[in-house]
Amino acid sequence: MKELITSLFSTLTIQEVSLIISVINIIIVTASLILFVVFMVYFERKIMGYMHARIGPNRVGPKGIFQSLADTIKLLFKEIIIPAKADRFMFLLAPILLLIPAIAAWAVVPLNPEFLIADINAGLLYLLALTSFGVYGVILAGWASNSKYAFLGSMRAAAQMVAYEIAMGFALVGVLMAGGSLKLGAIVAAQSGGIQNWFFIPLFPLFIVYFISGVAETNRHPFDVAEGEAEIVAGFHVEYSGAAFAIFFLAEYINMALISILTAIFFLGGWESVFSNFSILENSVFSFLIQPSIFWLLSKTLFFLFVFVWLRATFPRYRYDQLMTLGWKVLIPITIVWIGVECIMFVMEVGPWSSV
Amino acid sequence: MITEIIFYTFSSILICAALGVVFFRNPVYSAVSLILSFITSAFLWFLLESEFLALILILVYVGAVMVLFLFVIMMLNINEQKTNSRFNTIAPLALSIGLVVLIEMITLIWLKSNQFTETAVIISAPSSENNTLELGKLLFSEYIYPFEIAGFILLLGIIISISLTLRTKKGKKTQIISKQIDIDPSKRVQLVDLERGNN
Repeated sequence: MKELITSLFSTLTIQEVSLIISVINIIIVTASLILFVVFMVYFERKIMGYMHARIGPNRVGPKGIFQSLADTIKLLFKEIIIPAKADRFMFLLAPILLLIPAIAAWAVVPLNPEFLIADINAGLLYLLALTSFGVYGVILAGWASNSKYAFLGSMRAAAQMVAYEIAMGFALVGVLMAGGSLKLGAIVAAQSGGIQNWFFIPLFPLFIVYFISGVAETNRHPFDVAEGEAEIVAGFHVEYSGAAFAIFFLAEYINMALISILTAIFFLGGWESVFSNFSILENSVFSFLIQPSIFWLLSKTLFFLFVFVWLRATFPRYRYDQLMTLGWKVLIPITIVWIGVECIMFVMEVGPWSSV
Repeated sequence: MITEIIFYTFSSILICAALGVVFFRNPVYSAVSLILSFITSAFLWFLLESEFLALILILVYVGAVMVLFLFVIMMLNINEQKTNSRFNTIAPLALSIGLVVLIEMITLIWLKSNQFTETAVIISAPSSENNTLELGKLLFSEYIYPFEIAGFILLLGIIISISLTLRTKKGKKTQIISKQIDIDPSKRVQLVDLERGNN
């Protein structure tokens, strides 16, 4: 792509060309994320329907595939009601504060070895910083609504997200030690060479902890006490309507996709193939299956998205004190113990990192 | 050229945000502009190519400390202070403290102005390509004792603050999950045979 642009506009400098390429990449990623959310809502409702022995959406279009498109149009044309006692500026700022970090985090996520918007040295830290920033959208939405239910929801969300962020950070410390780099591309490269080198085997507890805290961080079932329909109506976004509500919805689904793709990158070898050791396939029609490609990354991501939906359809909601007990007394000790175990594995030279 | 534009833009945002912290009447707005000033100062550190410090600033101060600040401010539910009366009593004290800090900073910068230019050159040098790695190596070799002592003090702080606030009430009803799991179902219900037609 770089050559194409330089040949078309020969007068541009190298800096300008890289700027144009970045802008194009950003537009591609953002547009596909928004399209993904439209698809994901349908995927979720359909799977939930089958798990509950229902049909799910089936009215708009064949098999109901245009249902979420219709919902989007409905949401966008609805009136945005701002409560009279609400803090107008903060009320409108809050959804944007939730959406921007959710999209901006994708800047350091590599989709294949070449495609990456920003290759910064501390990619993993950048991700942690941005995911921790998302909590402000929730807190400010609850406060600005000037409503008891919204406020309760945001208080719950703040405590929960701070608690689970710690477990998440500790789990990533293990990944960082194993990968030996803060760059996501280098972490995937450290897992190359077959399924036995993927980090989910030596770091299995961290893998589980990371995914559970990811679910909690996105405020999804069974950790969605911040929304808790039966207890506090709809939590922090109870006063939002129309497009403002749609932004909350968008941010939640983009965060889900982010957690899924990051779990795939950190623990399941990213774009590495499942069959990379099957040399029988090498000269057959299926030789493309051995190659590392974006196909593998996306199918792993889709699997974790399915797990998100599965959890939602299966589990009842946690009670608030049980949620805190799980975060502080179970997940954090597990990660700390396993980092110690990992250190011992390093000294004993056991694990995928010792062969390199 | 671009670097200068970015620098002056972010510094002016930083100064405005810092003024906002002081002059907003609503404490929530003050807290939000404090967050904005943390983020813009992190951007300035990015310009110095010290991405580790910049990201840690966001992670620690914006991601953890300010959440708790905002939490407390919201819980207290302070309404906008309409009156100016308290401001007048505190003003002389605040001004004198501010003046002392200002004088200190001016003398420091004036005395060390030569070294400042030198360090600026060192920081922007390409030798610090991966400064997270460099920082880690320094912390665990040259500065290992200060680093360990700081870690120990923080650990003490955690233990002390928990032990100060932890109170177990007598007669408090709590759920002990391990006991709940360990129960024997056959002992929970006692089946009694009733003789028929004997009541």
